[in-house]
Amino acid sequence: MPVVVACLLAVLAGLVARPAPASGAEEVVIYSSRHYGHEAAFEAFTRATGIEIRLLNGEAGQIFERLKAEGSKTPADVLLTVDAGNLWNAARAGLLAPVRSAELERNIPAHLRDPEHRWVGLTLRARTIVYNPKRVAPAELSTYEALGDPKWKGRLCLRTSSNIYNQSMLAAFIRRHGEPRTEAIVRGWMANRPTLINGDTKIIEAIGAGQCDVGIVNSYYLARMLKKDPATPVALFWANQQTTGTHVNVSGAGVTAHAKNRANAIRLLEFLSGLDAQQMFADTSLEFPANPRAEPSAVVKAWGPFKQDELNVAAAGEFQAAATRLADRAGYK
Amino acid sequence: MAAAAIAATVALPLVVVLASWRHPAGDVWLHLWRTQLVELVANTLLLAGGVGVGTLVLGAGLAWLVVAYEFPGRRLFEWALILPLAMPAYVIGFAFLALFDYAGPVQSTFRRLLGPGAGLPELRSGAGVVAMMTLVFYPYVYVLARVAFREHGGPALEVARSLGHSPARAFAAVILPLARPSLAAGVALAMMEALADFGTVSTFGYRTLTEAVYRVWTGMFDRVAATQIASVLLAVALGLLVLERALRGRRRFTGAERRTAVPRVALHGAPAAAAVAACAVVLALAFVLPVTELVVWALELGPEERASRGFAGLVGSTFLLAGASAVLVGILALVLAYARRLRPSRTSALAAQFSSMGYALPGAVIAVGVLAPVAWLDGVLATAAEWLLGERLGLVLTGSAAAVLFAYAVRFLAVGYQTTEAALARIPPSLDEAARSLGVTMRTALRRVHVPLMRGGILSALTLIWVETIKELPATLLLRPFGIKTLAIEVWERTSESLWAEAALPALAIVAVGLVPLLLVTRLEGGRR
Amino acid sequence: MTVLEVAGVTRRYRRNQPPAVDAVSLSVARGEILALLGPSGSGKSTLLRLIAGFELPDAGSVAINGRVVAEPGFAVPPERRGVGIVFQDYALFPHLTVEGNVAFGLHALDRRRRRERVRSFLELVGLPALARRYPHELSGGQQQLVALARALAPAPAVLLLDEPFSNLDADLRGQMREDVEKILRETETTVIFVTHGQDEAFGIADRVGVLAHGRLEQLDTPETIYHRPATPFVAEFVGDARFVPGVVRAGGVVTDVGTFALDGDAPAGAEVDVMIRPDDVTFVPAADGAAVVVHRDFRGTETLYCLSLPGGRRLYASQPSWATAVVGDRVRVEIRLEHVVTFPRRP
Repeated sequence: MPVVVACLLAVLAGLVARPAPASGAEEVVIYSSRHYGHEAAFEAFTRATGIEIRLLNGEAGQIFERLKAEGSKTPADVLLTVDAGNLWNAARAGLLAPVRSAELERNIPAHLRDPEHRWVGLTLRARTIVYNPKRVAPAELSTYEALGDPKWKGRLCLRTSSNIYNQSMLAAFIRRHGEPRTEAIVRGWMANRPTLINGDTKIIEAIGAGQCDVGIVNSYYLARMLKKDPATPVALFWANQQTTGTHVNVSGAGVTAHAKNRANAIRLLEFLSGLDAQQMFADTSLEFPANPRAEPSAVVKAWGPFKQDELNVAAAGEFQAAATRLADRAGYK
Repeated sequence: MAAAAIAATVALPLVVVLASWRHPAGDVWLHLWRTQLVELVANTLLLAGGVGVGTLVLGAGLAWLVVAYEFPGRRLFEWALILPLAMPAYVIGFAFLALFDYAGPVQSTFRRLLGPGAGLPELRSGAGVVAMMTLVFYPYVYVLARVAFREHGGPALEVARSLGHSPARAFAAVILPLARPSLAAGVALAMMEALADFGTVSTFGYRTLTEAVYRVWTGMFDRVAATQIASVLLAVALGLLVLERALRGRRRFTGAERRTAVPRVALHGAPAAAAVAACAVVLALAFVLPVTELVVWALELGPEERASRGFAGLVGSTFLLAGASAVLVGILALVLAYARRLRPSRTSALAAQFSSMGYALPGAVIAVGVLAPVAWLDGVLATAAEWLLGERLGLVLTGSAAAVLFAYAVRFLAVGYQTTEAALARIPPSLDEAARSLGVTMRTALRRVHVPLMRGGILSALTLIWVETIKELPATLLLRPFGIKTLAIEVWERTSESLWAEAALPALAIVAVGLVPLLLVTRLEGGRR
Repeated sequence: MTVLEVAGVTRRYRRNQPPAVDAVSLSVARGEILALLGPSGSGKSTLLRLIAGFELPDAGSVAINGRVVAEPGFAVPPERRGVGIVFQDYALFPHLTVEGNVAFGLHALDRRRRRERVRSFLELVGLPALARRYPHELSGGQQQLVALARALAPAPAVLLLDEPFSNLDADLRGQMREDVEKILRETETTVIFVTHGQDEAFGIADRVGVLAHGRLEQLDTPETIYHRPATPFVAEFVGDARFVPGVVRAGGVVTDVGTFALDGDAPAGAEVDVMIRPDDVTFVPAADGAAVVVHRDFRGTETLYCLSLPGGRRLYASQPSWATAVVGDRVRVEIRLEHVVTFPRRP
């Protein structure tokens, strides 16, 4: 028994003793709920500036709680997360400090940044319509709203309403159209008895297999599948080109309110918004670069240019709670 | 004393959860009531009930089969049927969806062979979720039931048969009721885990209270209301446990300590084939199939994608955390269970029960519940350090392995406690008295009498905690220190981006690391007989 | 010299029920063997557990070697009382060998002395060859002896035996009784043992305490208990006593079945019950006898007859088993009382 206890204490001690940051070395600490496609850009940053990056991944809602609990003692300098709704929420909770940077403002379009400068979008993700070209002609498609047309009865696949991408999309709709109109849109979809699937990739697979004919997904999921298998029998349609433009969202970052390495943090954001890093994002994650001067990857470029909804993406956060409730009311599970 | 301190500390995060009611969140509740609350509660109860019945039937049935009958492959099945425990529920769920979904290979083949109308029943349904969880959680019941049957089954079976019962009737009339504490413990674990599960229900789009916890938290940015919903889960779980105790009434389940082995009945012909088929089908569905799917996914990757960086480090820190967790939680559970044996009272029973309720809560809620007291303690430490030493102290506990282990203790104490208590209960009290009459204190008796006698039970407890820790995600994710990453986190980082092929290898590693103690314990058990 | 002193000990499990042990006092001298005899539920096991320390008294005290080990509000834990116990189910540790079991209480000794002591106690109980066996590999009698060796090895001040022979076969029981008594006498152990069989109690014990409903009815030598029972309960419980009503006169007690000289003095005219034991009663077959044999119970060395007297009264008579009377025989009854025991007439 004493042996066991001694062993346990030794292990505990070993685990509690955390490696101290190399003294003197410049560093920046990131809490992130985005965990794909940024490694190359981070390495490039360290090469370019000599600043080391320490990264802790987590789930957005929970990592906010950790940041809150750590308060002024937090080691985090930068919060990196997917979905503008999350960024908006972090800013509202006072976790982020405003950053005025001419370079950021030059690199990133205004509608992809916080109007109060607390966060900035770094990659752009378009949520649009995909379809099975064997069963649907592109001419039959037009807008998100039109998917409520009875002709799509039993042919529609949607992500569940718990998914944050959908919540943000509905939030943007509310900002644009108001709640009653948005609810009518959702009720229209529901009237078509859509198949609800949790996973954009799964929706694309379902459309490919003929379980349904149309769906709404983030474009890069289809891009990844096409890159792996160019014969994937699913095509992309840019929604709402004649009207409001395709719904877009961002993954982005902000500098924390209690950053110990604020200057480094700002340098990192500026670097990530620059051309080189943006190109790396675009090529690995197949999202759109937030910086319009960078080029999307070849697979993505094949879809051609599109008109995006240029409402500020902060709407995603502002109206997200309303969107979630609206979905519940409309019976969208 | 020690036991009271443990119970109080471990119950702290639960108190934090309950304290969420200090802030009214009436509008969220009103909204839920208007839209879906009834459905959520019904779904949740249906899930818990379904998994309870499912794991009981599967776990107890298979355990009796391998204990009381002899058929080809029985020895292999006897230990192999534990294997699904090493499979995280969300992994098996996703593997099943990949295989049996409309777009999956099975249904596609059906359509090709039988025409476009052919298909399987929808997996994304209550029945589908219950089936998934039953397949993953039945080993809890199986493990505990097998031990109980082996130890009490022999004499009970002899008595029942001497009174004219067939073996099957004897099983229903005597063996099952006698094994009730073990069965109840196993089913309780399975049901609590089903209540707390988020990964599977969200993958399957099945709305439960736990799913609502996350939806309200991430969708409405309302953590307080989310925590309140979670506390309803606590009430449901506590209610189920209290109900079970109440239904037991004044029955007792320890009897004469006459140990006779259950005489195995050899099966031949059709019954033997049926027995083999039952074991094989369960094993195939719950283990072989998902593992095969993972291997297929892993093979889809190119060799350089497969050689993931820092894989050894992942396995290492997973081992370290799981080992520390097993030993720590195992000891805590033993102390609690033993204290309850020494001073049996309604209060101590309730305290132990409550402090092990963390298992029924969604992991993320527990994690935040742990965060609050730990961060508070950090603040106290910092103030004290500044005042005493004049030194500014950073975060000592928040984001440390100690916090992670604390969370494991809160979450998995139930697993350790239920298993340990069941083992302890099988030691006749006269041995305690014999030890004391020979001049040995109760503390020494624990080491010299109880621990050696419950070695099997303790090993089972350690194994279960080990396996659970390896599968655990939310608390590790939220509370871990920089630079510590487990296999489960690696899997999550990939799957949250739908990168299943990339997640297959670490997922297989989870299964492999989980299997190590399962096999070890089976060996030890085998060596003793 | 008194080793164990129990003074007015009371133990009540439930508030509104009579106590399980009710104001019991007794003392045991060094080397004495005391039997506690009583029907099940009489409180004898509870009394044992009170002495051992597994139960705490609500009133009264227990002292061992002059040191109080239990009184209300104070208790020395069982492990520090120096009380050895042989349990009814032996409670051998199934994970330890015979050796390991006997060595269990010797943790204060160093390894060499412990081994010596284990060997000497295994020799004492005659089982040195079984040292390496596990409990389940032993017969019931062997388990009993190991339990005894284990309890004796730490040299307890008092040894408690809880129904020590009840788990043994009848044919083994007699032998074990002799062996155990020999060991206990050899080691001059102070012993309390609990039993519900008077043969065991009378056979081994120096003194016997009879318990009923938690009260100690009588504590005396076996002979006194048998021949001079203090209460009707004791009289009935030890030996098949029957009671015959009588009235005290000048010449003795006058009853239906004869007049008996009175040992003590009772006021003339007092109504009493006279105790009559089967061995006080003899009979001879006689066609004109007043009694009839109504039942015959062959017990081996003796036969117990039930006789019906005129007026319906029944008496038991034990006869050597060579005497043969059958049911229905008329007999003439003779009663010879060595000790005339009377109790006030029961209402």
